[in-house]
Amino acid sequence: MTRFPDWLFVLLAAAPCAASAQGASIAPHAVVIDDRLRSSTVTLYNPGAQPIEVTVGTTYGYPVTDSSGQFTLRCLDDSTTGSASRWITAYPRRFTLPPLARQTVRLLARPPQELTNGEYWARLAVTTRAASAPIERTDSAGIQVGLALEVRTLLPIYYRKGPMTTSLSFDAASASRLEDSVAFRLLMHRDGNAAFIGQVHATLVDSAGHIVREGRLPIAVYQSAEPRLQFPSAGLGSGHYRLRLEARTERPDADVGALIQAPPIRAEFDVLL
Amino acid sequence: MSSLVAVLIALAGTARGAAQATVQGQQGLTFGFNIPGVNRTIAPTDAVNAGRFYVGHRVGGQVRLTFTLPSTLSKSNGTTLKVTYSSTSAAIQTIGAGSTTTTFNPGSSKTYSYTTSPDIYVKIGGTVQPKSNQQSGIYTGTITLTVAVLQ
Repeated sequence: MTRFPDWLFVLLAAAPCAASAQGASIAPHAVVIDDRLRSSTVTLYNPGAQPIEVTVGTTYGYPVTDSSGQFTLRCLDDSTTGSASRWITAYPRRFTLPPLARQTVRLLARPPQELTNGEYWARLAVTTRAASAPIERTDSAGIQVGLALEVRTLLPIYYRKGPMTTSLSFDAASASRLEDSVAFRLLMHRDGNAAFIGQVHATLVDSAGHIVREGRLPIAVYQSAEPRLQFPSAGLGSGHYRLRLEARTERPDADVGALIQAPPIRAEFDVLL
Repeated sequence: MSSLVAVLIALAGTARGAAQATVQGQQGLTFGFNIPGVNRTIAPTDAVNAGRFYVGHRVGGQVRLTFTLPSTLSKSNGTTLKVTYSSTSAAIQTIGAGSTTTTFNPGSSKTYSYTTSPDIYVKIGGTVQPKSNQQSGIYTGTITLTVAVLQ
């Protein structure tokens, strides 16, 4: 474990909130394991002033959209096809991390011999015991109540074997007016053998060809998804519009190496508002 | 000041340049001293008593926030005390210029998109309901926040 410089202690002393915090920073927040190497690492750092108890494991799940079009995490049994969680192991799995120290966690993969080319998924689950309940322990006969905090962080693991390709198809777009906005549901499915992680740039064009709304939507399409894109409706009259979509395998929150690259995918739909 | 420190700490503590996620439990939820037969509610905006998590991620990303909440708290002899949560018992507060606070139901998961700031607080309150004959003593429990990076 690595000790940190004195100036960090001074900084911490000036910040009671941060200094009393318990939890961890984890980097990277998306782990790629190449079949030729079969291992990778993540680094955990404890920025707090107290030691933390850390438990590391793997589970299986991937992002999907729920009925409202929000991305959520679907957790599945790790025997499901496509899961890598049964054969990726973290070391160490349980440890105490002192204040201002960091720990490297190694992920080792032991895939089945008959594993075919493709991308396999898991989630790294890091649990840390957090702030204790701030209860004053006195001899009072009163009722004292406090709840401690625990945090669990789930990060993607991509295990890649052989050539990787990904792409996306926009199957449909539907529009609906809400109280003060218009909402679009974009039905899409992934092609290729790897997840399509990126973002959609959407523009709404009126009948005169003017762009009247514009926005970006982060997406993570492992199989299929139907995310919701919402624009303010103020000033948008009823009528026909064109919704132009462009999906790219770029995201400002992702490290370049974590994303399988694909050419931009474009589509247009007529929508009636 | 505290948000700036949190960011600096996170940057100093992990691999240089790599995207990272930071999740910290910063302050436990406390209801202090309570009177038998009298409910006590702590709002998520209560700076002193509400539970507070810090969740840091890069702008442009999304996380799914899910609470695991106890319905009863226990003292060492096994006696229990009921705790409940309402549709506004949790809140997300962005950190930095133009800070905003949005309440949500901690009984349902919440997807959050980082559009302007890489730093948010997730706060949790609730209501304890001591019975009129509730035993005195210290009642404790644990709240777990699961943060799934949607990538």
